[in-house]
Amino acid sequence: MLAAATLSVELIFGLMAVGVILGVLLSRWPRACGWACAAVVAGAAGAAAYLANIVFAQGHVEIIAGSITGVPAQLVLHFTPLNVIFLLMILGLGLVATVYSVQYVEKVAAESPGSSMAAVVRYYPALMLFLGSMAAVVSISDLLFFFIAWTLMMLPAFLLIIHDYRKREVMRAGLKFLLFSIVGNLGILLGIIILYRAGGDFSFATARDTMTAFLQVQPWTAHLVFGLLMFGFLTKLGIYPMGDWLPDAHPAAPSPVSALLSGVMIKLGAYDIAHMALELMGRANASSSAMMGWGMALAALGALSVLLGGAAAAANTDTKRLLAFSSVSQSGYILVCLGISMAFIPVSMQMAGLAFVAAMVFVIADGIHKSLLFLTAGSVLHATGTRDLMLLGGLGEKMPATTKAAIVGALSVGGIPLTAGFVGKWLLFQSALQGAAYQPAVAIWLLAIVVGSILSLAYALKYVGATYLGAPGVASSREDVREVPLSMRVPQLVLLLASVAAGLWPSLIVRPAISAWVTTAPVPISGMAGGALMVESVGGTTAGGYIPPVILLLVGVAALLAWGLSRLGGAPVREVRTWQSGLELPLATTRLPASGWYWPFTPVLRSIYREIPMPDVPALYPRPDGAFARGWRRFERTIAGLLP
Amino acid sequence: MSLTDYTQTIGFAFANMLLVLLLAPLLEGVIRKLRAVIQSRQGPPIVQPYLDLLKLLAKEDLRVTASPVITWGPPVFLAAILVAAGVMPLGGETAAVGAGDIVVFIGLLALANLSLAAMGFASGSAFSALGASREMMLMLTTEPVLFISLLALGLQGETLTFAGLLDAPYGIATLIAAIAYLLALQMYVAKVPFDITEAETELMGGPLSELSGPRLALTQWGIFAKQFIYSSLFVQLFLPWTLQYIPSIAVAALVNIAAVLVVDVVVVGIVMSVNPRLRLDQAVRYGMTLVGVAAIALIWAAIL
Repeated sequence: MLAAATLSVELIFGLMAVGVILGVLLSRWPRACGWACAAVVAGAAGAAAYLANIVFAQGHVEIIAGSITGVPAQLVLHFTPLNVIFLLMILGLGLVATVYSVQYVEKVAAESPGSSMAAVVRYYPALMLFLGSMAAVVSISDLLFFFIAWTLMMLPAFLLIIHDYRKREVMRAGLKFLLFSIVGNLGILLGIIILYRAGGDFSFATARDTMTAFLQVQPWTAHLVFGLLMFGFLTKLGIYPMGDWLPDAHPAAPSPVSALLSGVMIKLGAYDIAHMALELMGRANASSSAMMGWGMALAALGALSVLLGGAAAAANTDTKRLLAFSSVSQSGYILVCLGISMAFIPVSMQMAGLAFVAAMVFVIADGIHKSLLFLTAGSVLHATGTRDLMLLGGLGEKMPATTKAAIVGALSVGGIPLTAGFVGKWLLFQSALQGAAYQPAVAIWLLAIVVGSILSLAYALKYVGATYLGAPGVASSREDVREVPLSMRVPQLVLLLASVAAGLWPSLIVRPAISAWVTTAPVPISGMAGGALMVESVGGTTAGGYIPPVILLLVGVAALLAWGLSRLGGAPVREVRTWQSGLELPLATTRLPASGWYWPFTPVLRSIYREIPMPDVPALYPRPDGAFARGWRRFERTIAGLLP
Repeated sequence: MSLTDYTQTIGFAFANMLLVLLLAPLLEGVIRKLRAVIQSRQGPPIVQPYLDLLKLLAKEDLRVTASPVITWGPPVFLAAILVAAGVMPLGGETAAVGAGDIVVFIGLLALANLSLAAMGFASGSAFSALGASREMMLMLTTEPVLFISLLALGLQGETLTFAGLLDAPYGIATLIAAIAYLLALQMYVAKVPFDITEAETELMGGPLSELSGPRLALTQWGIFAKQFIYSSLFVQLFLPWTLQYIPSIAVAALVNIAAVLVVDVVVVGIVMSVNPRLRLDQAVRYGMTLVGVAAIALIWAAIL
C-alpha cells in the first residue's frame, strides 16, 4: 500500500511540474495550453482520489521523501483524512477552475494590450505552480519544508493576482497581498525558529514535545510561539485586520484565480489552524484556562470578521469585491468554529469535536459555493466586460445557466435549508448553543453570528438581484451579451450539482469532516444513514435534528400544492409592461440602482469595515515607459523567441 | 431513526401544514373585523379573506417578465412558510424527531422573506425594488429578535428541537425572551405600524405591486400563514403553560387556535388600529432595542 501511495504522490507532484513546463511551451496556443493543463490537473486529481482511498482506509500514511545533508530536517509527507480533504479540494477545485480558464483566459489574452502569448505565459505556469505548491503545503508535515512550500505558494499567487498588471489598482492589490503575506510569514518563521532552537530539529513530533515542555516550564514562550503561528495563519485566512489584503486581491485577479484564492488558498489558513495549532496546543496538555483563553480570543476575532465582512459585502456594488467581503465573513464562521473547538478540547471532547466538524463542513461548503459564485461573476465579466453592479441587471434571460448557478450559490452562501452552506451553519449553531451553556461568552459570539447570517442573506440577494434580476443595466442590455461557452458552463454546473448534493444528503460532507477530527473521541452526530443529522447534547439528550430529505419532500409537496392552487381557477396569463406610475420611460432609467439598495443603512454598513491604509509608493507601480515595464517586455520577447 | 419516526414526522408536518393553510385567512378576517369596529366601521364579514383569495385565484395573471423567479417565487414563498409550520408544534406536541429544529425553522422563514424580496427585485419596478430593499433591512432586526429569543429558550433546555423546547423549564430568561418576542410580533406580521415593506400608500404594495391573480393570491396566503405561525409560536413556546398535558392533540390545537386569536386580536389588531406607519429607520431602531432585550434573555440563560 505504501508503494501505491508513494506512486500517487509522485504522480501528483510530477504532473504539476509537467503542467508548469507545458504551460510555458504551449503558450503560443492559449486554448491548447489550457486543455493540456486541465488534463494534467485531472491526472493529479485522479491520483489524489486514489491516495485518498488509501488514507481513508488506513487512517494515515507517512512518506519520507528525502532530506538535505547538514540540515536537521526531513521531507516528510504525512497524510491523514484532514489533509487529504484539503488535497482533494485543491486539485478538484483546481481542475474546475483550470477548465473554466481555457476560454476565459483566451479572451483575456486576446484583449491584453501586450502580446497574447505573454498573457498566457504569465497565467498557466503560475496556475500550475500555485496548485502544486498548495498541494505541497497540505502534504508536508516537517516544519522547515512546510515553511518553504508555504512561502513558495505566495509567489505564483502574487503573479496571478497581478495578471492584469498594467492597471494601477491591480498592482496595488498585488503588492498589498505580498506585503501582508510576508509579514504573516515572518510570524510563522519566527515561531518555527523558536521551536527549532529549543527542540533541535524541524519535525512535527519534536515541535509538539517542545510545546509540551514550554507549557510546563515557561508557558509564556509557548503562548508567544502559538500567537506568532496564529498571526501568520489568520493573515492567510483573511481574518480582519491581518487579512485585509483579501478584499483587494480577489477582484484584481482573473476570475478562476479568484475562485481558487477564495475557495482553496484562504482555507489553507484554516487547515493550518486545525492541524498545527489544535495539535500543537491540544495534544500538549495545555491547561484548560489557556485553551479557553486562546479559543475565545480566536472566536472573538472570527465573530468580528463575520460582522465586518457581511456588512461591507451588503453595501458593496462590485460583484467580485462583494464576494470577496463575503469570503471575509465566511472565514469568520470557520474561525468561530475552530475557536470554540479549541476552547473545549480540555473540557469536553464531544463539544470540541462538534465545533471542529462544523468548521470542516464550512471549509468544504464555502470552497464549493464561493468558487461557484466567483465563476459566475467571472462569466458576467466575460460576457459584459464589467463588475459594476450599477451597470448590470436583468441578465437572467440572456444567461440562464449562469443565473441558475448564481442562485444556487447565493442560497448556499446565505445558509438557506437544503443547501451545503446551511449544513455548516446548522452545525455551528448546535455547537455554539452547547458551548454557551458552559461558557457564557459564547452566547455573545452567537449574537454576532445571528446578525452576520442575516447580512449574508442581504449580500447574497444583492449579488443575484442586481446582476441577474430586474431591469437590464447599461452594460447588460448591449446586443452582444450572450451566455458563456460550454467549457465555462460545465464547471459551474459541476459545482452547482456538488452544492445541491451536499445540501440534500449532508453525510457526503459531514462524514469526511468527522474522519478529519484530530482525536479518536466520538463526535456526537448520528442519523446520517437515513440522510438525517442528529446531534446529542453532553447529557445525552437529542439537542438538534435536521432531515433534509424530509424537508425536501415537504417543500416539494407544498410547492406543488401551491402551484396546483394557482392553476385551480384556470386564470389566463398575459404579458404586460412594468407599471411606472403611468410613465413610459425605459426601465433602465427608473430602476433602483445597486448603490441605493438597503438605503438608508448603506452608508452605515459601508463605514463598518475600515481598510488598513497602504502606503502609496508610485515608484512601485510599473509605468508604461518605466524600467520594470521595459525589462518585462524584453523578458517577454526573449521567451517568445525561445519557444516553438 | 426508525421508519415509524419518519412516518410520524411526516404525518405531523402534513397535519400542521393543512391546518395553517386552511385557518390562516380566518385569523386575518377576525383582525380586519376588529379593526373596523375600533374605527367605528361595520367592516367586511369574517370570511372575506377566503372570498378574496378565491376571487384572485381566478383572475387574470399579468406578468411583467418571464423570469423563473416570478414564476416560482409565490409557490416557494407559500411552501417555505407552510413547511416552517410543518416543523413547529401547533397542538402542544410535536413529533419526537422533528424534520427540523429551530435553526431549520428560521432558515425556512428566511427563505420565505428572501423569495418575497427576490420577486420584488425581479419585477424591474422601482416600487417593488424599494419594498424588497426595505424587507431585507427590516429582516436584519426582526430575524435576530426571533432567533435570539428562541435560542434563549433553547439554552435553558439545552436543546434546539421543538420537542425539547416544549419541555424546557420556564425561567426568568424565558420571560424576558417572551417580552421581546411579543413586542416584536407586530414587526414579524408586518402590520401597521410596520407595514413598511408593502406601504400601500407610498409604494403601492412594494414587492406585491407587480403580482396579480393567482400569484398574488399565493403570496397573500403566505403572508396570512406567516401571521398565524408567528402568533402560534408565541402561544406554544413563550406562555407559561404546557399544552402537552391536554390529552388530545385536537383539543390542544383548538386551545392553541383560540389563544392565537386572542393574542392577535389584542396585540396586532389594536396596535394596528391606533398607530400610523413608522419610517424604516424608526422601525429598525425599535427593532434594535428588541434585539438588545432578546440578547439580555440569551445572556441571562447562558450565565444561570
